[in-house]
Amino acid sequence: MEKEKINYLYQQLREVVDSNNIFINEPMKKHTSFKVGGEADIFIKIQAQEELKRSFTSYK
Amino acid sequence: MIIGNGSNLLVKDKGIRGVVLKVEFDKIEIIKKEEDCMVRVGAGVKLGLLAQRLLKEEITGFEFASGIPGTIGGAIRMNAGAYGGEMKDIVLETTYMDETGNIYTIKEKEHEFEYRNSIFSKRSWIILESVLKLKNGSKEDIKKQMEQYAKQRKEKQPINFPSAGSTFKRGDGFITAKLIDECGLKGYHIGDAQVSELHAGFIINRKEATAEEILQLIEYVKKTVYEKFQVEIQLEIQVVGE
Repeated sequence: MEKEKINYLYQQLREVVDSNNIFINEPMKKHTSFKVGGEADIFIKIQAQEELKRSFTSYK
Repeated sequence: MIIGNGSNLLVKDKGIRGVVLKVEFDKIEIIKKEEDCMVRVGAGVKLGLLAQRLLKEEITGFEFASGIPGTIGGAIRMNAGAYGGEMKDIVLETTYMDETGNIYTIKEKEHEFEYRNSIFSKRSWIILESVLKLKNGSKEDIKKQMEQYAKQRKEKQPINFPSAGSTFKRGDGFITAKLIDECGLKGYHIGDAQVSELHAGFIINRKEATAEEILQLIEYVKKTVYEKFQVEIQLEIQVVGE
């Protein structure tokens, strides 16, 4: 994804998810048992249903 | 895309465009505890952790899953199983969010469980939580059963190396790992991606394997098995990204 789009999404997601739980260019090898994989543009840890609903609908 | 524990997943080397959501709902609630027990479990709860809690509560029926590295959400999505048990046997209902953000609950048969599949592996719904139906048991028996499974797992599976669990699905009328073994592929490697020396159905990351090496090894194993036995073997792990 283009950098501007990632930044735009990041700003939107920050409204609904604690910014400590949003990561940009996050290596997926940290999050897979295979310890393999390149970066996700944006990686979010979701801890509540409401966060999920709001972030899900905000980036769609 | 949604991930749980990332334990059945191969992410390619260039990563994932867009947003990855990791569901961390970690609630465990015992809602009924008589002869029959019901437990509500958040999608992000790890199976091992749930097994320990159920042991403590003396609730039986979940022992088979105690060593599977994954979350409840992931396990339901792919109807995870081991040692003769499957999620199918113990799931009463599941609550999920659909693509538009609406929340629904489905019951038993509506999960459309099949071998390593469910309705959730065919749709892009997000599992929120499930209710499991289990039984009242004795702590001693549960513990013994879990220890026995752990011992078997340790002897037969390469748990000391990173992997995504069993790489290939069981075949229709054949045991995939046995065929791979009979091709002499145990220990065969491309870079740091290796067919486990302990269990031919597992591909392990010896150290710094890339997704490309793992995918090349998968293709090599598939091709070799096909040439020798004329059967096509299928991936159990999910490959994502670019």
